[in-house]
Amino acid sequence: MKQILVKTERCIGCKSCELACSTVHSESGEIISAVLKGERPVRRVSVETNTENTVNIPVQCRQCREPKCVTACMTGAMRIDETTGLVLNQEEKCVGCWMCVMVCPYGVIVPSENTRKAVKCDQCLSKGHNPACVKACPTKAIKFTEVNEFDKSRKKDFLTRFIAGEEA
Amino acid sequence: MRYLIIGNSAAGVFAAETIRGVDKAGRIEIISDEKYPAYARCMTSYYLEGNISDEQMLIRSADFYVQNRIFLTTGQKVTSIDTAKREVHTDKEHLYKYDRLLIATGASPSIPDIPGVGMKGVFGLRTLEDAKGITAFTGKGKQAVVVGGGFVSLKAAYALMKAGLTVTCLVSSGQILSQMLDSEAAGILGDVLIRNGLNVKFYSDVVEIIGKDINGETFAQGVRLTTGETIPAEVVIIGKGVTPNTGFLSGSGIALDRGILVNEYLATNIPDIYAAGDVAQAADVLTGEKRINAIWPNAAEQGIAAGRNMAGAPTVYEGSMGMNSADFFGLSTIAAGLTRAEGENYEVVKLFPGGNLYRRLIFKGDRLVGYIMVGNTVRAGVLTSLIKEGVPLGKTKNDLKQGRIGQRILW
Repeated sequence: MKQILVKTERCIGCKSCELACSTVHSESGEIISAVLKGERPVRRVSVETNTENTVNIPVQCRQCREPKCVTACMTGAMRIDETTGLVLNQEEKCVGCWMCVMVCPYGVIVPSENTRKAVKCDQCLSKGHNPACVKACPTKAIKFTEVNEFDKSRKKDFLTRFIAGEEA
Repeated sequence: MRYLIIGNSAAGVFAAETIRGVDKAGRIEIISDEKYPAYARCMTSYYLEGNISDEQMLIRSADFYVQNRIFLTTGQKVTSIDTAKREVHTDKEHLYKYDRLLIATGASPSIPDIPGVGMKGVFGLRTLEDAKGITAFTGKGKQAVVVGGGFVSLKAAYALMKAGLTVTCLVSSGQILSQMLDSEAAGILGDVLIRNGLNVKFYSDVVEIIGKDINGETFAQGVRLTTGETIPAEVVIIGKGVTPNTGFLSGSGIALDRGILVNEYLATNIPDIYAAGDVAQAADVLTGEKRINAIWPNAAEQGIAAGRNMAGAPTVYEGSMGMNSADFFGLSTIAAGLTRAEGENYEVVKLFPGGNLYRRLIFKGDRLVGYIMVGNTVRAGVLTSLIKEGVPLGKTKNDLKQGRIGQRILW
């Protein structure tokens, strides 16, 4: 399955992904209308920066193979979707007990104040499975790709730099 | 291979699912003393609000058992296990054979031995049957007494308030949620509940339930307290903790303490017999001691680990941890680990960022061993993970003490 992966050296911490995520998941689908209508759009990605300000990384659901949120979910709302392999929350079953929030090691499940449901990244499955954060990233730091494809391109990058004498 | 699972809740269902994932051919049977397919036990309190359907209570789709070729027998209670013959006997005189057995019988509400607990209108809250029973006694303007100040009691009280009842909660100690929260966190949460109409009586307990005979049956009318006071109540819910369901194991040779003693593979002392969930006493990840941290997430994880081991994929269970989460009137509270640890081995930091926010962090040397978060709990899972994995904190410790994780504020 495809994953949302990040080339951290390209991320400048601009938070365009956060904005795009909020927008695409708002009812209005457009940030200005959403704000004017009093919506409080919830983003499913958040750009983390280390204390030294040297590394930025947008973090969203890692779509774990053995998701803690799924075992913790007392309603059966949080499940691995058999077709896509994604960890999805069936909001109609979710009662907002926040057990998933309690156990997610990445802290990427958001308790929505409006709906009282757990909200998380679904790789924009409901929007044609074309993640808005990836489209919005101005430096193309965020990739939506198969892990082994990403791995290949990382190896190639490394070798290119190695030949150029940039990697010791 | 014949797999037999006693119990059809978190541990049993996750185990069955896991076994099927590893062993496509084996025969999997589940015996349940309840009459429903697997449902969300922790949702029984929400059910009392009256706007959750029976269907919504189910944790798996209708075709789950068929899809996974799991044979579910409902309405039968296991009465004994013959470990030598590898047989399980039930109250319907049925006999089940097994090659590998999982005991996931859970626990039952502990009901104090006081006059009147057998009356109509007096309930524990554990099963969907309990919840259905209670809803027959609820309705706008009715009065309820909830005995106990733990998670189950408060969740029940909260649901009954939302259903329009007048609710009084009896707490034997001086604070609510005294097993998980400190007095600061309990105070904030208690205030919110009280401000929204919950009557809380601290340092009080019930000594007797008072009833009235109607058509030959006695219905609860009120409770008499240790203080001598009487409170009217058409429904009384008793939430004084639970007792593991191990009664049927006496004489089986299976080693028991408070629950069934299991090793790191969730195996009992008898070959091919495993235990998981609220009945199993497995190692606690923080203390190493065997104890029951009876919460859904631990039960589910134990079910998965036990299932793998039963199906021949050796898996070490990493240990359980005490934790819980509650949300009352939009105020989320999450606590995990050694939340109340004190003394010279521990360093405790309390942060009061204002409003209804509160953070208590408990460190042991370079590690986080517990926390309490009241309000805006979005990053709780990161802390849970730091505790469970025993991550050495280094300079992060100082950040945490100031309420930060990386560049994020913890509220």
